[in-house]
Amino acid sequence: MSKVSRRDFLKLAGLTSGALAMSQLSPESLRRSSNSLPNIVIVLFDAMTARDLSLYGFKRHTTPNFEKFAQKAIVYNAHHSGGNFTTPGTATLLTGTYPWTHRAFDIAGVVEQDRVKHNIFTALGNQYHRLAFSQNLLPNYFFGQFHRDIDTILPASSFSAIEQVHGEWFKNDLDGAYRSYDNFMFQDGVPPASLVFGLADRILLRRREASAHYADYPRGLPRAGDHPIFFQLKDVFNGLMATLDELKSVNPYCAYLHVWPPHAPYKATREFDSKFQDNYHPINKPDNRLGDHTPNSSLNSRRQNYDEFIANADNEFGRLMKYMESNGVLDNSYVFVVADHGESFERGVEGHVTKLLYEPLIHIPLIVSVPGQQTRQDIYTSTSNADILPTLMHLSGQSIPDWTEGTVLPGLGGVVDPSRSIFSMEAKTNSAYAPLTKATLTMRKGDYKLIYYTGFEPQDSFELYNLAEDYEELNDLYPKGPSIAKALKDELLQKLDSVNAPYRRKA
Amino acid sequence: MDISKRFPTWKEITPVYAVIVLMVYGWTLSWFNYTLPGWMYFLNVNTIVGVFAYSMFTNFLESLVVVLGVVLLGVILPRKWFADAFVARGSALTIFLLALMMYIANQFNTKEYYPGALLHWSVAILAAILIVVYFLGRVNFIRKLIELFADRAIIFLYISIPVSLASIVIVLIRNFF
Repeated sequence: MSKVSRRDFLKLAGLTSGALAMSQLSPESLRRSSNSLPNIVIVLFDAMTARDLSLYGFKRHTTPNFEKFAQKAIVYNAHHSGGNFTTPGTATLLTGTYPWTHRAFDIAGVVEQDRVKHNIFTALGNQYHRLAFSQNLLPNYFFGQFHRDIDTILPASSFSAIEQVHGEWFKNDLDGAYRSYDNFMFQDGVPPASLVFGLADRILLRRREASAHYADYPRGLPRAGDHPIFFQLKDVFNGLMATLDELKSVNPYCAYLHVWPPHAPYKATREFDSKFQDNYHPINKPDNRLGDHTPNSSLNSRRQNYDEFIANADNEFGRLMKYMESNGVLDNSYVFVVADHGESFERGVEGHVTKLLYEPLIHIPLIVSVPGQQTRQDIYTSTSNADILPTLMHLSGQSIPDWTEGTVLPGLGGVVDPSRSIFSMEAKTNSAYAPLTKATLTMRKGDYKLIYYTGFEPQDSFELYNLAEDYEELNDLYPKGPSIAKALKDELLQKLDSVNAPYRRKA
Repeated sequence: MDISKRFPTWKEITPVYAVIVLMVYGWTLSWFNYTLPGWMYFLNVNTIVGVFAYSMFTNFLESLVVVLGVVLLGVILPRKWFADAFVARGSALTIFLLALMMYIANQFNTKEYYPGALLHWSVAILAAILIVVYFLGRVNFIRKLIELFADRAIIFLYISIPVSLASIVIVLIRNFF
C-alpha cells in the first residue's frame, strides 16, 4: 500500500470535487459546536456480504484491515439487511423499519410520505451536525426526502474522477431532480429521454470515459452502476478523511458515509486485480428455480473479481482506520462499519437483482467501535440493520421512538432476546401502495431461518434451514415438517397479515 | 449591411419551432409514457408531476436551442440557400436532424455503446442533409407540403407553451419555496 501523508491527502482532497462539496458546511452549522455527546460515523460498503469476508471466516484473506479494526470493536456475527438491494436495505438502516413498513421496495423507490420524518437524521435532532454522503444515487432520493433534517448533503459525485450527474444542481429538490434527470432524462444504459441535451451528454460522457487512462486500474475505473460517476478508491477514501477532518469543528456530528465498493462492476486496482487466482472452490449449490441459471464457472470467476474488489476496499478502509486512530476519531466516536445488502455467487445467481434471499444476499457485516474500546467482543445473536436507529437513539441519550421495528443492539445497551424474530424481504415488483402479495420474505429466529416465496408461482412455498447446523443452507427442513416449521410459518403469516392490513383497507 | 434584416420573421419562425416542439417533446413524452406505469408502482402523484415538470422544462430549453440554431443558420447562410424558403428548409432540416439524433439515441441501449463511426461521418452527414434540404426548398410541391405540415404543427404550441410555462413555475416552486 502506498503511504500518503496527511499533507498529501489534503492536497489531493483540495483537487477533487469533494473539496467543493465540503465548502457546503455552512457557518450556521459550524456554530453548532457543543456538548459531550459522542460522534457517530457510519461507513457503509454497498453490496458487501459477510460471507466473503475473512473477518467472518471466509477462506480468502479478503479483509485483514477489518480484522484489525475488529480487535478493538464489537463484531456482530449474524447481522442482516432489510432487503437484498440498496433501496430497501438502506431505507431499513435509515428508518429503523422493515421494507413492509417504509415501503421503499422498488429500485428507485422512496420512503412512504407519512413516514418521511421517521429517519436517523430527524430522530437524532439538531443537537447533531448531520452529514450524508452516498456514492450510490439511490440513497440520495432518501436524502432528498429527509433534506430538512440533514445539515450537509455531499453530492453523490464528490471525490469522483469523471462525473456527469445533473440532479445535484437542484439542491433544494434533490429527490425530484435526481429522479427527473439522472434516473430518466439522462439515464445511461437506455436511450436518453432528453433528445438534444441527453444525446450530447451521452456522447460527451463516452468521450471522457474513453480518454481517461488510469494506470492503477487495469480493467478501467470503477463506476457507480448506471450512473455517470467514475472514481478511484483512493480519492473516495481521501475524501472521506477530509470530510471527517472538516467535521472536527462541529462536534457532535453524525456522518453517514455510503461508498460504492464492493458493488459491481468489480474493478480493483492493479495491486489487487488477480490477487485471488487460487484454488478456492466454493461448494456447488443447486440452481434455484427462481434464479438466473448462471453457470458455476462464471459465478466463480466473478466471485474472484468481487473478492479482489473487497480486498481493495478493505485496504482503503485500513487507511481510513489509521486516519481515525491517529486523529482521535475513534476516541470520541462510535464507528459503525456496515453494508446495505449482500451479494450472491451461488444457485445460478450473480449479483443481487434476484428474488432470492439466501444468506449471502442478506448476511452483512456489522462492526462497531466504541470510544476507547480496547478488546474485541463478539455478538452471535441475530441482529438487523433496523436496530441501528434505536441504538443511535440510545447512545445519544434519547428515548427510542415507538415507530421503529428495531431494538438496541446487544453490546451497546441492548439485551439478547432469543425469542426475537428478524425479517428481510424482496418485493421490487410489488406496488408500494398495495399489500405485499408478490414477494420473498425471510424470518430468522434463533438458529432457524424460514423463507417464504409468495406470488411468483401458482403455489406459495417455504424453505426452512437451521443455520447453526447448516451454514450453507443446503438442507431444507420444511418438507420434513418439523413442529418449528409450523410455528415459524404461523408467526410470519400472522405478521404479514398485520402489516398488509392498512394497505388492504386503502385498496 | 443591416443584420436584423437577415433574421426570419416570427411568422416564419413559429411553424419551424412547432415542428421542433413536436419532435423534441414527442420523444420525451413517448419515454415518459413508457416509464409511467412502472413509476405508478412506487411514486406518488406529486413526484410524478415533478418529473414531468422537469422534463417539460428541459424540453422547452432544448427546443429553444434547436430553433436558435436554425435561425442562426438562416442568418449565416446566403439568403438563396436557406432563408428564401425558411419555413420549408428550416422544418426539413429539423426533421432530418432530429430524426438522425433519434436514431443515434436509440443505439444507446448499453453503457458501452459509442457511435464512433457515425460521429466520424457526422460532418459529411450534416453536409448531405443541408444539400438535400436546399434542393427540397427548390421543389415547389415538396416545399408547399412541408410548409403545410409545419403550419398544422402550430396547434401543438397551444399545448406545449402553457405546459412548459406551468412546468417552469412548478420547478421554481420546488426549488425556491
